[in-house]
Amino acid sequence: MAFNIMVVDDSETMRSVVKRVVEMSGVPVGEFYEAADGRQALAIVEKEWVDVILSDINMPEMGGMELLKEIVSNDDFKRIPVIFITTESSAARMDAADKLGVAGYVTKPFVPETIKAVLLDVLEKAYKVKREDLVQEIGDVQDDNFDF
Amino acid sequence: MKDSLQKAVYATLAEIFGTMFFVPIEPLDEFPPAESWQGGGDSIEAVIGFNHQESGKVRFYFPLALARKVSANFMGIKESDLEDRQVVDTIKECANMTVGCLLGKIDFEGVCSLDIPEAQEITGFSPEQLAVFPDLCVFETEFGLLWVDCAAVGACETCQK
Repeated sequence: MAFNIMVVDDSETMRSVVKRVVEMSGVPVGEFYEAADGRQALAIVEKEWVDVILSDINMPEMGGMELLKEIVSNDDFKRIPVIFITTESSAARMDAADKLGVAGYVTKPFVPETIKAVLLDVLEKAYKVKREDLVQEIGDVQDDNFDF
Repeated sequence: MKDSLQKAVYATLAEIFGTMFFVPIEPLDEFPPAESWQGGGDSIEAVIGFNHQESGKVRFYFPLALARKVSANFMGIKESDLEDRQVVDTIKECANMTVGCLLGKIDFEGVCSLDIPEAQEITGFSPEQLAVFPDLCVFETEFGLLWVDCAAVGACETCQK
């Protein structure tokens, strides 16, 4: 089973870093979508099948909190788990995200293992699949900086 | 600068540069002598608005060599393959991460908020104008000095509790 994954961040470089981390994590990826803010993300989920969203919070136009509210309040989209990857790490903000129904939370700065662990946890719960069935052999993928 | 804020700034920058950019940084206790920063060439200025009782801005000044190094490390590509917009975008993200992470350490009530960061390449940056700021932090790296003006955070009563 491959998952269609969307990364939402106004930083193009951060989107590419998260994409690289996800690809190296061994999670089978079908399509990979990118959006620069919540509004673009909503436009994509209206047209494409998305299995999980990895989103920043602090973005122009529509931030991550607003995006999450839209996702959980829409009958067609509320099946999509949303993981925040964000600098917003105060307990008050994490609590607010929990109350809105966020599926997972990764704070920047992060190590790749954290994104991998949270993504696997969320996919396991949302799609009732076993972790060992989720992770593919990642072979000889090497990276000087990100080492799984 | 209040000691607890200074420690939080140092810890935050060390964590971010170590975890995401793979460049060691060392805080300087005193304003560095002119010969250590004169003739440094172009810089990148990043600014992020910080809102609490009053609004202010946190400013970062990166020598271009440092900006390019952290960008290449962050993206996992060679410096020669970097595009200018990627360097500016990485420095914006660095500013966002730094102040966001700092707030996580000092703004326990979550009442402060951040604007969208901005960054641009500048020529003729002179740190002398920053020397008067009480909340200026300077970091030494292999690729030049990083300057961070934290006055906006230093003025926040919530963050000083």
